[in-house]
Amino acid sequence: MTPEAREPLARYLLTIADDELVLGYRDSEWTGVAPIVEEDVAFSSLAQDEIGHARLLYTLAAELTATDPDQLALRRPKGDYYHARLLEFRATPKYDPSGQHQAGGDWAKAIVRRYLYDLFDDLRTEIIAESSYPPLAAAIQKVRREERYHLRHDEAWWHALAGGPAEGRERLERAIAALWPDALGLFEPAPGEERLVAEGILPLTTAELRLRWVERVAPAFARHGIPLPDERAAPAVGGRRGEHGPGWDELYDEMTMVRRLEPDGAW
Amino acid sequence: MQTVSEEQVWEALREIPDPEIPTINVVDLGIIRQVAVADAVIRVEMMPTFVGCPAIDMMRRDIRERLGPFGPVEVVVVYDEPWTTERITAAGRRMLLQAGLAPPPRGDIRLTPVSSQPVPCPYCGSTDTQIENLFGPTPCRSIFYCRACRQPFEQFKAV
Repeated sequence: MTPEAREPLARYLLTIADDELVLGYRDSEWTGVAPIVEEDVAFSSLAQDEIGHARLLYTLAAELTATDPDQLALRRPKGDYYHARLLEFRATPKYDPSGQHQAGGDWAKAIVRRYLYDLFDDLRTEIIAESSYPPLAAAIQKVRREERYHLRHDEAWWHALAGGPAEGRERLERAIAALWPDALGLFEPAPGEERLVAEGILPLTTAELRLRWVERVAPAFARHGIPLPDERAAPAVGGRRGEHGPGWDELYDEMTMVRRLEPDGAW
Repeated sequence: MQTVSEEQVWEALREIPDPEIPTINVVDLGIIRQVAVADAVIRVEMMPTFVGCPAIDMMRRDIRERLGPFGPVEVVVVYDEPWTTERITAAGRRMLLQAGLAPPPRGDIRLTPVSSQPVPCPYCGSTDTQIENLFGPTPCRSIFYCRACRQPFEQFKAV
């Protein structure tokens, strides 16, 4: 690896780690409020896996930038997180200590987000496994073995909602329509990816995965007669540059709260 | 150079139980890749079962404490080779059964994350079982139900 590739690689690692961390946090919010108790268990495990993957990727990024994984995970300014916008919105009802919980949670949105993201992440980790940067290629092999279970879980729910009674199907279709531009935003490249491709650290840019993703997504839609939204629709971009929406304001405040109260707390 | 031999270190490691499944030890679980006693420090390489496993730090501490009397210890967590359930020894698979955990199915999990073969119940041995949840109380377990003895049970996931 040339010295010029260090910074783009660190940034690329942060991009993936942030995706996993943010989805992990959001999925953890289902613990206790999922539609069935088995899904309380499943989403807790999914969240734990994703945050574990984030920790591993932050560790790799920290080695390149002479910092530590906690610093990267919880002490960066709000605008220095590079996850895709798809991952930051809250899909659960908002908890309120008064008991007057806000409505608006939507299981179908949680499932659509997971499935569209995991199909993308499967393609992304597939190319990263071919990286010429050995620590990354090796670590991602381990991650891929765990992600098999995630895809399996998503697929089961996708088919259950799509083939189920009318309300599930309607909610699924509404969620797809609402999230489609955000899903296309997954393919926004991180700055400096061309350098990584030139050096073989990355076999393809993130943008180049889009066509493969559509090929993976299309049969899942076709199987249930769900029309595939326009794949040339304008994607919701900005996430990879640190530009986010209100979902991120809320999540950032919450997930960094303890760290801000006790910046040097150890436990 | 250590006064302790590699064999003694392996023997001591065999006394360290997995914090979440105490019937199995870290050696039979297959998470110890290498032990080196050639230098001033005893070096142990450990492979985590799951990337997000919260027991990693506990096991690292347990190893340091158990080997401490032999001299300075370094426990390195390695990710350059994935731990897979194929690393669990034959004795280790029996130890899982004793804990009421079905051992992981064999074969290429990239093709079949869920076993196509029936999973025998660890309590009664019946194969009249069904999967209830791919996920379980820890990242490494799935939940099953035995229709014969009407017991829920857990299986160590294949990874």
